[in-house]
Amino acid sequence: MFPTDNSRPGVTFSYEVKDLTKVYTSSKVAANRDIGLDIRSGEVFGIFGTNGAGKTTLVRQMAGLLRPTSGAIRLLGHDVVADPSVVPHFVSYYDQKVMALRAHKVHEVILHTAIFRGLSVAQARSATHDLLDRFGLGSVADRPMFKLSGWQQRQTALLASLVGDRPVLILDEPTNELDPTKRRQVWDYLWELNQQRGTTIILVTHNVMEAEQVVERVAIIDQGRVVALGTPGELKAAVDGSVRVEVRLRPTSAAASALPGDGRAAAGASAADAFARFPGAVRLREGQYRITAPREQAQQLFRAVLDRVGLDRLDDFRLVTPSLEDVYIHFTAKERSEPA
Amino acid sequence: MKKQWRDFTWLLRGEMYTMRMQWFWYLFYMALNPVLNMFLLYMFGGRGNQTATMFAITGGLAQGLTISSMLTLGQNIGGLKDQNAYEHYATLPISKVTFLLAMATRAMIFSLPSFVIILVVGASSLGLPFHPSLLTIPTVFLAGYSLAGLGAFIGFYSPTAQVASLATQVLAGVMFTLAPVYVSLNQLPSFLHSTAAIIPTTYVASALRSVLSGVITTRTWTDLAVLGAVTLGSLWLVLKKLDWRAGQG
Repeated sequence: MFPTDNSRPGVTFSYEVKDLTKVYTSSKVAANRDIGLDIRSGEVFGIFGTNGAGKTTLVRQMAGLLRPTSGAIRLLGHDVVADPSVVPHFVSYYDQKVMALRAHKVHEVILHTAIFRGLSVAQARSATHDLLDRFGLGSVADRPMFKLSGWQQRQTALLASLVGDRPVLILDEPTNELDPTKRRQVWDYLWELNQQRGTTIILVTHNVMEAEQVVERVAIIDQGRVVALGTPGELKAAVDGSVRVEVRLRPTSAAASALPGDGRAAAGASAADAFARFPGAVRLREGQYRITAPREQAQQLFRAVLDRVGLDRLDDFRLVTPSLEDVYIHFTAKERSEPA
Repeated sequence: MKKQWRDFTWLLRGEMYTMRMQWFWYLFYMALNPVLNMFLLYMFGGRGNQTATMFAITGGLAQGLTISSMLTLGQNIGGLKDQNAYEHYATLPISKVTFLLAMATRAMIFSLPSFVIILVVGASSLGLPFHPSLLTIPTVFLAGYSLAGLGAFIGFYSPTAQVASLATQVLAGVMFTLAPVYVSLNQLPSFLHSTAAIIPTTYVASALRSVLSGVITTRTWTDLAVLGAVTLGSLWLVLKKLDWRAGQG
């Protein structure tokens, strides 16, 4: 029976974390302080933060690998603090450290994991084969782990975490050391898992730019505390209610603005003049401008640029809202600047 | 139970994969260890004293069986923690006891060739009256599992693999020098007579002497009962007291 939120009928939660604190006894450092999170079933939830912010400590407690100092963690209604043995039945966890089943071959790591997660041997073999094919590791399937490179070991461990259809996935830095193509494969696969099987995905990453494409809600952690929580849109709006239009003029137009006497210059100069007359316009460099305006004026601004300058004089033209990375930097920098 | 058995067989299979990395040293160990043991036995008691030779041989067998599982459990769990493989298992729906039994069984399997070589060579070259009874089989299993729980505790609670390795070796020394394993109880100092009763290797060595010579007595059954109780008790403690979770750090 999934727990539900009485204030929001129909909303079910995979994880409910309340007042979670973890103090490491050896260092007396509070890695997590009074953390509260509700993670809905079927959502992709991002946990972002700087190095040492307490992200990994948080998810290790959620995965039942680390005992909290105080607070509560409920997984699909089960008390994880009292009985961590329930976690492996629902959760698959990928750790950012390289898993070293050194003597296993690549396909054996995935196959054994699938069998331990309850798949029949035939199902496990099929799932292993599918994952190896999908992620292009078929050529090293029979190689033992100790003969693989670091990223191949990492990717094998990641595939092992994806096998077995757990309803919740906790992935701590899943794309570290992967090249852009492989990172794309991982994000696409996670998105598919979420959309097709309703898998709840909890994503810990530094790679905010990439994660922005898949996360539905985000918690930003800094110095052990949650400093921001919401959808990317909510957090962006909280940081900055403005939008930016960034424009690069075609070279002839840009060069023209620097050569007022040339025949072609008139057109270029008029384009540059047109930008200069926009309120809030800033000349970034030769032929590049930025105009900032309130969010509600975005459409009006967009039209005005096209009307006054014309599409044929524009080399590039972008309407930009604050990125999640801007949000991340805003909140973590803000925490540092405020006195404790 | 079906799930536990299936997990056990696949965990044991995974444990056996370690041969891929260690096969040379394993072969070397299998070939050299029995020869060295034989030489040791000859030096100690092979020159006419059959009782002393019997103690020396069964002591060697007891050491091979019990220590291999304790060392394997202690050092492997410590090593797995260092390598992050331990957490891989901790996040899977398998029981701790199944995990430990698979490791202990692997250690026992790896020590069996040496066991057989010592037994055969001991019987043939030193003329010992070995007539193994069927009870040898459960005795070998109980010997292998009796110290597995202790090894697991050492592995779990040692901060590093190196500490686990040192702790198990220190404990192994205690288990074999302070108990009537290589020598009879009467040859031990009197102050060790009572402490010997609480050291499991006392019962392993006694049971092996009995089952390998084919003379089964009440003492044999007592030895096996004690080993069974120690095994079950230690596994129960593992189940109840050992936490996959790290609490410190």
